[in-house]
Amino acid sequence: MTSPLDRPAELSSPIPIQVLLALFGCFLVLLEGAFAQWQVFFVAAPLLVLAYVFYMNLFFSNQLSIIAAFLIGLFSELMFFETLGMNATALALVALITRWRSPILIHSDFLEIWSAFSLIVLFFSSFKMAIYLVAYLSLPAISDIFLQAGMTILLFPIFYVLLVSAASAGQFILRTRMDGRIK
Amino acid sequence: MAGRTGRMRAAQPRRFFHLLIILLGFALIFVGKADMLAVRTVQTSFSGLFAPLFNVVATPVRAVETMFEGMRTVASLREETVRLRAENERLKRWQRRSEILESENRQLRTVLGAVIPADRQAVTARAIAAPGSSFSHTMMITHGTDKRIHRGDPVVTADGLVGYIIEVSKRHSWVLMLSDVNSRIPILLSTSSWPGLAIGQNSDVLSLSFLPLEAEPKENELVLTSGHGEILPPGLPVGRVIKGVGREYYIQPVVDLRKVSFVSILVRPEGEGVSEIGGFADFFTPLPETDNKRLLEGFSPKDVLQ
Repeated sequence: MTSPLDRPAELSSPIPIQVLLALFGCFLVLLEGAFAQWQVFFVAAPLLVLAYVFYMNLFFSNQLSIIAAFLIGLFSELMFFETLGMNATALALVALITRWRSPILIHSDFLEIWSAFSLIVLFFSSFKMAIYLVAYLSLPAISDIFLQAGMTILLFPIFYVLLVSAASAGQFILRTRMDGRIK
Repeated sequence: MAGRTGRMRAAQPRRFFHLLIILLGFALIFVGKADMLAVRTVQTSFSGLFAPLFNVVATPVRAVETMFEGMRTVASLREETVRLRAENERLKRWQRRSEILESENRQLRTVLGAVIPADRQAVTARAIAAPGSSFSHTMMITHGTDKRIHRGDPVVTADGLVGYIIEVSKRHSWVLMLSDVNSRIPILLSTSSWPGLAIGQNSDVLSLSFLPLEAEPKENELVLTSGHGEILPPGLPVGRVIKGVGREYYIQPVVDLRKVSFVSILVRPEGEGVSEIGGFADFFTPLPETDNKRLLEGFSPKDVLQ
């Protein structure tokens, strides 16, 4: 009978990668806020975090958990004084829906993924609008919401390519590190 | 069959956990809506803590925008020069006119015996975070309690009111912009003097509400802060009236909230406490009882004294 201290250390634990990916989500929150300073993106900054959560849950659902998506949303609310819980719940729901659809979408071509993402953006905006309606009994500027949704959908291909490249680079680095350790 | 049942059993705790997260989200929405001091304090400290990091991330993004702005400026330099010349001429005319009005105003103040408010000083700050979405129209600015900024201090640009401070940390503050759904600004129509309330709608225009029934705001009439509630000083330009359908009126803010990069915060001078803002009585001296004319607020002195 060996104690946990006698066992060899778990060097290939997925937790550090998961933490790093969640932190990258928080960085995207800050980047999204920075983009909002551009006049063209005022009140309509592209939803980079949403695209990230969608992509991760579609292709690497083990790496970005629902709770991580929830915490990223909470971080954005605390950082930018938005209604507490609105973003967090919406992102958690997006992560859940994406996971549910991922067995079908993972084998689809890019156009299908893009259209699925468009639906996700519409769901995300509608959910937030519904919460806003219940909380304030009024609706925010619909044109701005459509502009933000449209901007996010239009910019998705660029963000998708960047994420695919980053994921390939990450996997290459991890594989090289693992190979080095085996040798 | 047994494998499928096993998988379903294994998925059950996970489903319960996911449901718990969603419920937690909804609970947070209720807590956030309750507007508790503890939540606000956590939000302020949190955003204050991460503000320097945000500034680091935002600097290159801002630089890119400045670069594009520079390119646009160079492209339209000739056109800009013609426009600026015309504007310069117009401004000179306005300057002469304002000098005449200023002198007239000074004379009128001496007659009325009103005291000019000397209870504010301007602190210039840079906007470091803009709204970014339609759901919240708040803005983070540099400077906080280190520059004597307090909650409720008005935030202005050369054009007029931008909003007021809602949260302050040591080096950063949060501004609730006029257009935010939570913003309520007591206003006065500049020519007809009717009081009302400018309510933000998270859109480009504000709703003009709580006007007396007999009030007939004119299209493009300037709207100023009334100073009621003693939070904002009176006389700050808020916007111009836009007529809606029927008796609906809106206000187009005089400040282009999309282009705010530097603002001035009107803080109280050193040594003056928050409770001493007052000065309200200095501006609104009641008219004599016999005077039957209308007051600024739209009521006759008789109505007020009854």
